[in-house]
Amino acid sequence: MQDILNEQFTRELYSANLYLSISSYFEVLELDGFANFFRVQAQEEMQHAMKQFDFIHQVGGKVNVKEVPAPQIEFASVIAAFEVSLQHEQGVTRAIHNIVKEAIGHGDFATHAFMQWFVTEQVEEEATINNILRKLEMVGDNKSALFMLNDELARRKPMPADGKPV
Amino acid sequence: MANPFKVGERVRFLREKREGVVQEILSRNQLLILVDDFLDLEVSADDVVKIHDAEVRIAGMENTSPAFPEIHNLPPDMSLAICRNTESNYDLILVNPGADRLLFSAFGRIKAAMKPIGAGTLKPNRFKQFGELSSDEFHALKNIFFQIIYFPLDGTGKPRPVFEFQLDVRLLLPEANSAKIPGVDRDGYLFPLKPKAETTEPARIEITALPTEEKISGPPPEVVDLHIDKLVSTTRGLENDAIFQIQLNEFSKCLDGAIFHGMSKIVFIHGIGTFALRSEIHRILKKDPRVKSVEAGDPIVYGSGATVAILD
Repeated sequence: MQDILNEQFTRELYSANLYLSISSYFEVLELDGFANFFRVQAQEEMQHAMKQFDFIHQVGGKVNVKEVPAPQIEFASVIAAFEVSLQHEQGVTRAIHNIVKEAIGHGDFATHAFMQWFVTEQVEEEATINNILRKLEMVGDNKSALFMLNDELARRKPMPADGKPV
Repeated sequence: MANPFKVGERVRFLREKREGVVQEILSRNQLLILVDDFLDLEVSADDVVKIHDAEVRIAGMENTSPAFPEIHNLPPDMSLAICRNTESNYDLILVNPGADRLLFSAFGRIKAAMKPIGAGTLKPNRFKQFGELSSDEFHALKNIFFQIIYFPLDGTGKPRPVFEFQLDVRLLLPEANSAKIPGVDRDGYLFPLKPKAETTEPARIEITALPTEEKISGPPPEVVDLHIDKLVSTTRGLENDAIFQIQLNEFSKCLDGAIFHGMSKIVFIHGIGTFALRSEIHRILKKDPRVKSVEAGDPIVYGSGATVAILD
């Protein structure tokens, strides 16, 4: 189980890097609201990684900090960047579900209980990205609507580390 | 006034250099014409003229019966009929008693080599001669490999997955009797084409020789790296378009191979440099009815820039 949890820790770090990359893409486009959205995403992924980090030590394991693959740096469009994000979150969901299955298989109730927070979190993550994607599809080529969406996302603030809203 | 044309008559188009055969009388002024042996066109009766019998005889055209004769007293299954013709060669006839239009291709293993025999389309409730073998070729024929795609007749559904199987003619021929084939009305051998051939499972067919430059000897790897340095020894002299095409060709070949060999999934590593290759791969996979779903590859397992095609 330690290996699987270590993998997930590395995966969360990758997620943070990916979202920083997407945030930079939007910064270059001067869509600061979208850039802010992904900057906050990156911060939350780092929080997830540190949750994993702390849990592994709490159950007597060790974190092996490994090389994190470089994320995608080019994106075809605003919608394409969100599609990459959604596909990534869907992959993370599959990985988390796999950890839960392994935990059940090993009778590891502590990991099973710990991962429930991530299972729920992934539902919210996918729903959030999906919601924005649907809005972007409705926006189409309408630049005014795009900027309104940009302003809406600029208001997003990072969640505190304890996961409770401010 | 009734439509002046009849089913089976050859007609010539007035506004273009094209001829065809009347398949159906759709209405008083509308006809369904079969053109070039595979294309059905709805045309106005005012846009075509009948090619008269005298012209047919002088030009030495084939007779005016429909190119795809309707079958009566059908064999129950899709079948292959092999009938001797007047030149002592053997006609290969595909019989389609079903309700779907189909697209097919056939290869024959003659001695050690694989030879294309024929290909085409076939409407429901029709038969079609798609190939001819000389007497020597027929006696050296070991098996025939078919690939058939079924299309629902009303055109609303997707084509079903490719139906592939091998008919071991050499094994079956000694037990087969030459007789009048119902529907086709010729003497010959009739082989029902069942989804699972007696001696070979379609998913495990290995083709050792193909009429292309490449031989398929086994399934592709489960993880295919499409980085150009993995595909060619040097990129010197290769422009971006050529590199892209090489990568796409490898992708297509491996995808086809994965499906042919019954793999449950295949992973393509396309990298993260630009999105062109990834976008094109995703576009092709999402359109391909043989692909069940498309997922991003786990970056921790495959590195960044990987796509998983789920086939099963």
